[in-house]
This record gives sequence, structure tokens and C-alpha cells, in this order.
Amino acid sequence: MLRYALTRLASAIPTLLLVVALAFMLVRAAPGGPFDTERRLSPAMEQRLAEAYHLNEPLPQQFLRYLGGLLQGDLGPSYRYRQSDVSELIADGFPVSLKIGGLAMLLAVALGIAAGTLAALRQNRLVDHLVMALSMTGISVPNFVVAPVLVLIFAVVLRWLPAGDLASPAHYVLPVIALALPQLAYIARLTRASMIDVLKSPYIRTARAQGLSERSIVLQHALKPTLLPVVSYLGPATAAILTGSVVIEQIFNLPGLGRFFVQGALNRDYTLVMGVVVFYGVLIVLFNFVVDLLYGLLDPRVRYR
Amino acid sequence: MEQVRLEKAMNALRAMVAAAALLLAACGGSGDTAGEAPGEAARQAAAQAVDEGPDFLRRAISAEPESLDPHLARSVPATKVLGDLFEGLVTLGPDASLQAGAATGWESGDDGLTWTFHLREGLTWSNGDPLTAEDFVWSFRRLVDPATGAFYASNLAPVVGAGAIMAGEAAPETLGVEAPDARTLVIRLAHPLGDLLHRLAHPSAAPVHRPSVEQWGDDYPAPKRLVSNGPYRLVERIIGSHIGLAKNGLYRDPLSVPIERVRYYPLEDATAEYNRYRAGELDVTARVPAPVFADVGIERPGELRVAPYLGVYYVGFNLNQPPFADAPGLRKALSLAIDRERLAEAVMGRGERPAWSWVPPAVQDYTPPRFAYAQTGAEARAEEARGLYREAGYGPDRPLAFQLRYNTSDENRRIAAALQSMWREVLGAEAELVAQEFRVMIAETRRGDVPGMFRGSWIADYDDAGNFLSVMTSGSSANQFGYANPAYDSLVAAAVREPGGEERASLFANAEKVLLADHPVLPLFFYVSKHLVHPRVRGWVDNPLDYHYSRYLRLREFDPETAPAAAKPDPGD
Repeated sequence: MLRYALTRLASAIPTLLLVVALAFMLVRAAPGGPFDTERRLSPAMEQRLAEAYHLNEPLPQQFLRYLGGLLQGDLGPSYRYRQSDVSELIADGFPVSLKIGGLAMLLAVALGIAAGTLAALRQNRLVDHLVMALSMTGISVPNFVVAPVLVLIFAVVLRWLPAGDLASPAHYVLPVIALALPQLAYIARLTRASMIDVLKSPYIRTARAQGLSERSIVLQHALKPTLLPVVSYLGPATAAILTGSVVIEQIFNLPGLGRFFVQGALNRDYTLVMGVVVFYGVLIVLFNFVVDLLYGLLDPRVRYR
Repeated sequence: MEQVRLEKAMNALRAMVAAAALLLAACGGSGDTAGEAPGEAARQAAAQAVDEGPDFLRRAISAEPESLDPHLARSVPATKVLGDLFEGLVTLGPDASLQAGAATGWESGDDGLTWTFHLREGLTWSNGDPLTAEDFVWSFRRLVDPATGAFYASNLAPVVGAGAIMAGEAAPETLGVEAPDARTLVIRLAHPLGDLLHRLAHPSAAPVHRPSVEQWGDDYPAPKRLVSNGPYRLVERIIGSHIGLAKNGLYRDPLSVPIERVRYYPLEDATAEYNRYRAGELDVTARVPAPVFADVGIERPGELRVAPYLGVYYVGFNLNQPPFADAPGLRKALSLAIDRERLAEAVMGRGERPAWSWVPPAVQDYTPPRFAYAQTGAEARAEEARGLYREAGYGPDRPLAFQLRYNTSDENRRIAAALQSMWREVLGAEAELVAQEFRVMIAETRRGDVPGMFRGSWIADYDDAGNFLSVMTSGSSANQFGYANPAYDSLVAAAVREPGGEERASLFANAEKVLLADHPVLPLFFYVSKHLVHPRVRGWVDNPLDYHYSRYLRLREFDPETAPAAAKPDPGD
């Protein structure tokens, strides 16, 4: 097990290196630079800026310089917000995204599994059809439609909840719901399909034949295998929540990482974009690794060599 | 026991699913993102909110300021915040007219080349350090120093020595600005200048605290660290969330500043901003989204503020490449074929005015000349257009084909599509529409090797015709068209040197007539500023620069003169 963990983590390093290199090339391939505006700076000024930010060096040299900084934990200053370091911005923005994303994930998993289980146990009855129809809506309606509609209903008309910022627990409700909904819907469907499948298995039939209660069968025998596809989905779900957070943070004015990512790309803020890419890359690699371990815990048939 | 608990759990599950179902039904039903609350409910809510707002002013700006250093800031949102934090020698009043700021008075020598400014007595920075003329000397040197990389360094270009310094050929200490004593500042100009005071009122001419910059470097504009001299100081800044300002007790006239605290919220999404205003979370919006504009005028008539704004929306030509190089007749034909009235009213429809000149008529002390064909009807213009088109060698069997590039936005797309259809209808010319991301478009236009037309806009830095006309001079860093007309250059240069009055205006008019005849650029319409201003905010004066410094505003229920007797301040968020 330990060997497996170490091998996995070791193989993550070339992956991350590739990600950094690709991001570096892509962000510089886009036409336009961080200091381009409709009015030109004087040639002397452009020269000074290029020198200060090493933009006039050949690309491989810039890349090596960046890697060197990375190994020392220095992500560089933001090209746009010159008074802030990228690591500062990430340190400020990540907790916000983590809170919103984490809560959204919890909500999606808890409610999604609950709804999917309910639908599976009452298959083809009204509850099932309702859950399936609603989850289809949740998957199809994009969150940049859902979020403003939620704001409209709960903040503008009813005035029950605030429309932006994160000043109190009430401020978290709408962004977390808007972010969680598509994942909640998908997890519900996944759970339902998986549970229906599991309930047809021979060992479940055996358990029923042995006279165990329906509740016990569901919770003690059927739930763990049902959750396997859901756990596998958690990796992509995290990625979806990370990208979904960009829109949500924009609409609710939350100072999170997703917003920095998009604004950074639009502003050609090379260091900020690279910093966020590296950070997300590490997160996703770690998270997928954790998911794999979780898989092993749930399914005793899985052995790690 | 377990049975009962599990049953309860199942019931809870059902309840949760039902609640989620209701929520999803509410969301899934409506796909309209902007939506419309019933007018009555909104009016009642607004009326209620007047007496319930917090004791600080909540303003929205359209983007996060890139910096709160007056020398590094360049975007419009940044200048809004800087206007509250800093004050230059000259400042702007509630109607954006020039007023004495850090200087009580000034005079210019007979030749107009030497300007002497007298600073007020007892000026201090927000940390108590004395503010002297030497601070201004140092700040102006830093502004023109290429190492700073200041976007608005060219504002001081007419000062003696500035040109050489900005080109990196001389040290900043050679700038023609001196402080003979602590309260006197002398600025020496390379030539007379009619708009010096305007340039000094611009946020980039604000004084910068030298010890802070020397100690903290790039980091000095951090909250609780930024030392400023304006009516407010910076107390909080969370990038992506908000900027918090509090009244500067050491400002030269703190009693004249009614509002104690201000918060700026950078909101990129116009619809989200509008929703927050309607939810009672904002007092002033930065703009009004197009889809709801018509309804807002009906629902909240007193709150919508629309005023002419000193900005022009245009489409320009690459003048160095065919088909538009050396083809003034063809360019004029394209201009004639555009129905600017229809564009402004039907396509835009929010109060924008059709542009028959380059300089907006709202500019002070100047009435711009117009295109010769401004008064003729659409039919006569179309006829003339077709004639010129044929003369240039184009016709039904040889239609003019070119690209029109614009930066991606709904508004630009609609206008580009309207232009395309007008050109096709009237001339049979085929414009290919190319949407590009903003910086991509800038980079391509700047390279100068992409033929065709492109969309752009120019927003005035200050209220003067010269600010618009200088753009088109061959030496201007903003001239992305490649327009180089020596006659025009010398006319503008002469006009800029005039101290003021009718002579100046008529020189500018002559220059503009040359510009309009050449058609290097087609102005389409002039902007209007659009804000929603909550009824509890008082003292808002519409002005063409759209500068509304917080120091001139008051909150109704916290103003001892106008607060209703029964109002009690809400502790706030």
C-alpha cells in the first residue's frame, strides 16, 4: 500500500511538469501581452517593462526561470496587480473557493446520494419520475442561468437572502446551491442507476432470502458497492466544481480563485494564470489520488500492488 | 428501534427531495436571466430601503482596479477610486468643473511658459507628514520616469525636459518642475498650453508619498499602508471583493466631507450588479445592462441617470494598406452609407447621440464642426455614396470586400451587423465581421499589417477638445490608424498652444474640419453615462466626464439637514 502511494505520487511529478509546460506555452501563444492597451507606452517604457518582467528573453529561458522560481516556492508577482505576489493572491482566493466548493460538494454528494437512493427504492413510481425529471433539468440548465434566477427570486423579490459577497453564513446559501445543483443532479442519477444494478445482484437476493430487513439490506450491503461509481465520479466532479466556480464567483462577486483564473487569462497576467494552473494541477492530482485510496476502502476486491 | 429511526430518515429524505424539487422547478421554469420583478413590488421595496440603508456609501465599479498607485492606474474604474483617495494641485467640482485643490491659486508668466502654483498652508498627508511642493516635484519626476511605466506620463509631455526623460535619454531630475520654497511650485513648459490645469486635475497628477515608495516599493498601495492626501484613505482592500475607504481626518477640509465611509465593489457582470442594486445592496451602479434599460426607466424613473459622456464610438481604417490607403473618396462613401440616426436610436436606443464629428458637442468651450452631409437626408447621402463608390472603381461586378474587426461583446456585435447590412444595402460592399478578444484585436491593430476596418472608442481623459483631436496627430501614441497629415498636425499643435477662448476654439475647429474631410476614422455615436442612483444618495450632479467624487455626496438619512425625523441608522451588514 505504501509503495503504491509513493509510486503514484512520484508519477504525479512528470504530469505536473507537463501541465506547467503546456500552460506556459499556451498562455504566451495568445496574441497580445500584459501591457498592451489602446494607447501605446513610449518605446523606452516598453523596453523597461519588458526588462523588468524578463519578457524580452527567449522563451526557453523564461520557462527555466519560472521553473526555478517554482522550485523555491516563488510564483512571482502578478503582472496586473503589481503590488501583490501570485502566492498572496492564491492564498487569499483559495479559502473562499474551498469553502464554497467544499460545501457545494458536500451538498451535492449528500443530497444526490439520498435522492438517487430514494428513486432507486421507489423505482418507476412518482418519486422516481420526479427525481429523474428534476435531475435532468439540473444537468441541462447551465449554472449561469440558474444563479441569476436564484438571485432574482430569493434576493430581489423575496429579499430572504443576499445577492453577493460573503459577509455572513446567509451569504453562502445561494452560491453553494447554484454551484452544487448540476453535480447533485448527476450524482442522483448515478446513484439511482448503480443501486438498481446492485439490488439485482445475487448476494442481495441471498440476503433477502435470509430474511434481512429491507433497510438493513440497503444500508449495510447495497450502499457501499453502489457508491463505487459515485466515488469514481468525484474526481471529475471536483474539476467541474472548480470550473463552475468561475461563473458563480463572477455573479456573486466572491474573491475566489476561479475569477482570478479567467481575469488573468483575459489580462494576459502570465504569472497569475500559471500560478493558478500549478495550484489546480496539484489539487486535482492529490484529489484523484485520495479518491483512488477511497475506492480501495470501499471495495475489498481492489488490491494495490 | 432501528426501524423507527430508518423510517424517520426516509421521511427526511423525501422531504429534502421535495424541497429540492420545488427549488429546481422554480429555477428550471424560467430561462430568462435578466427577468423582471413586478414594478409595484420594486417601488415598495425601494421606498422601504431609503430608510434602511447602512451608514456607508456602496458604489459599484465595472472592474477591479489594477493599481491604486496614481502613476500605475490607467483604467476608468481605477480613476474613480483614486479621485476619492488623492487630490492634485487642481481638482474637480461636483459638476466636474476645475477647482482649486492642493493649490489655492496660480498664475502664468506673460509668455505662458512659466506657471506658478501656491499651495495651501498646513497641508498634510494622511499619516501626518507635511505635504510640500517638493512632494509634487518628486511625484511628477516619477510620473515621467520610464522606469515607472506610467500610462499617463504623456500628460506631462509639454513640460520642459519631459520628452527626453520619457525617451530614456535624460534623468528625471531634469524635468522642468521646481519648488523654490515649501509652498510654491513652478512648472516650466516647452510651449504654451491651454489645458495645463485639466492635466493637473487628472488622477495621474496626484502627489505620491515618497517615503512610502522608497520603503515599500511596489507594495506601497496596500491597505493601512497607503498614504494619500485626499478626502478619503484606504482602510481595506480584498481583491475581487471590495475596496473600503474611510474619511481622512487630516484632509485639508474634513468638515466639508459628509460621508464617513465608502465601499467600492468591482462587479464585472452588469446583470449581477443590477440585481444587487434591486436587492438593496448597492447605492450607485456603474452602468445599466442593455436588456433592462427600457424597463428601468419606467420602474425607477428618479433613479436612472443618463447624461452625455465624453466618449466616441468609431470604426477606423488601416490607412497604410489597401483598400483604404489613399482612398479618401471610398472612405467617405462608407461613411455616407451609414445611417447614424438609425444606429443610435434603433440599434443602441439608450440615449446615445449620432456622431457627426469627432469631438462630442458636450465638450466645454467648443462647438465642433460637422460632416458636410450631416443635414442632408438618408437618400441624398446614399446617392452620393454610390457615386463615390463607383469612382473608386467598385461596382456590382467588383464589390468592395474587407474585414471589420471588433472586440467581442453583444453591443459591438449588433452594431457591426447593422453596419454590415447598411453597407451591403446602399453600396453592395461586403464586410466580413471578425470578432476578436480585446487584446488580440489591439495587438493586431497595432502591428499595422492587418487590412480593413476595426472598431474602437476614445474616452476623454479630461474635458477638452484637444484631448480628442490630439489622438489623430501623427505623433500620438494612441493613433492606431496610421493617419499622418502634416497640415492637421500643425493646426492641432497651434491650437493646443493657445491659452484659451475663441481663438483656441476656432483653431481646433479648423483642424477638425481637415480631419472630417479626410475620413481616417468614422465616428458613429457619442456615449452616454448610465447609472442607477439610490434615492438616499444626494448631491449627484450629472457631468460629461462622469466624475462623481464621494466627497460631494450625502446620504439622506444621515444628513442632519435632510434626514427624516423617524429614520434610525441601520447597523449595516
